Amino acid sequence: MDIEKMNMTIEKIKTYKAMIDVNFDEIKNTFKNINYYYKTSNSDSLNDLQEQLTNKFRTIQNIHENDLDYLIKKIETYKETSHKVTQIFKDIN
Amino acid sequence: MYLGKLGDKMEIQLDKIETENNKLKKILDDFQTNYLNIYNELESISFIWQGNESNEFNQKISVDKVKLENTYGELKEIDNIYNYLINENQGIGKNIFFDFNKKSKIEDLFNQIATSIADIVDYYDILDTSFCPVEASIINSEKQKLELIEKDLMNIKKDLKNTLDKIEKNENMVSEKTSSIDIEIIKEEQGE
Repeated sequence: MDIEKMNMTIEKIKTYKAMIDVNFDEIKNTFKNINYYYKTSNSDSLNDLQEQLTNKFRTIQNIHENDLDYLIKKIETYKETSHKVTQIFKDIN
Repeated sequence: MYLGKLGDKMEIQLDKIETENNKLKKILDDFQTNYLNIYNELESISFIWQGNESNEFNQKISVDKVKLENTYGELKEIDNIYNYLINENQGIGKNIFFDFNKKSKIEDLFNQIATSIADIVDYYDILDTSFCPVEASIINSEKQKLELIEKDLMNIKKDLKNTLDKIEKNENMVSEKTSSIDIEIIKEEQGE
């Protein structure tokens, strides 16, 4: 594992994740604005769809968070293992 | 075609919807760029970290990417609905406000007025004006004006009916398109 590259990749993912979170807030606001200007018997159905998508996106955000946590944990585990192996070789020598 | 019952009052501020929809398109483009960037980075991890766990992670990422692509697809479907209602209602007007509960009442009103005019014209026809040629000429002129008014009224009624029918058709299509969207439910997998 190339830890430096992993850390850089994780930072990039965090940046894009923050951007996608902003995008989705903007999408929600735009839907809300459109709903204000479009009031017919179809409004409720459209609201329901938007609500479902909002809930779905929250799940996606959690998935991304878990992915990041997992990678960070893997780096920590790798570092620990690497340190232990280095120590063992030092002790042998 | 699905023909659901149209609700009561309707308000469609088309110019404002169009402004917001244009913003939505730009945001959706950014959203797509950003989620593709996320997955490009996640997929690049396979070059930085090798092993069985890395392979399992990559498989999971492939599955998650499809979920997000589907979500983007669902967002685009809603965007398409807004495109449809903007395009189809553009010829009607920038702002549409109507209470469909009053539709039949308005049609009845037109018919009543037309009937009243026709009755008046009939009365004019049975008037004996043989002894007053000047007045007869005036009455005849007024009768012709009324006949023109009746004709215009019926044309306005026809145009109004066509416009309301078009609005109803558009709304029924929006209803059909909305019903056809099936948002895929995704579950968060439990972590380690």
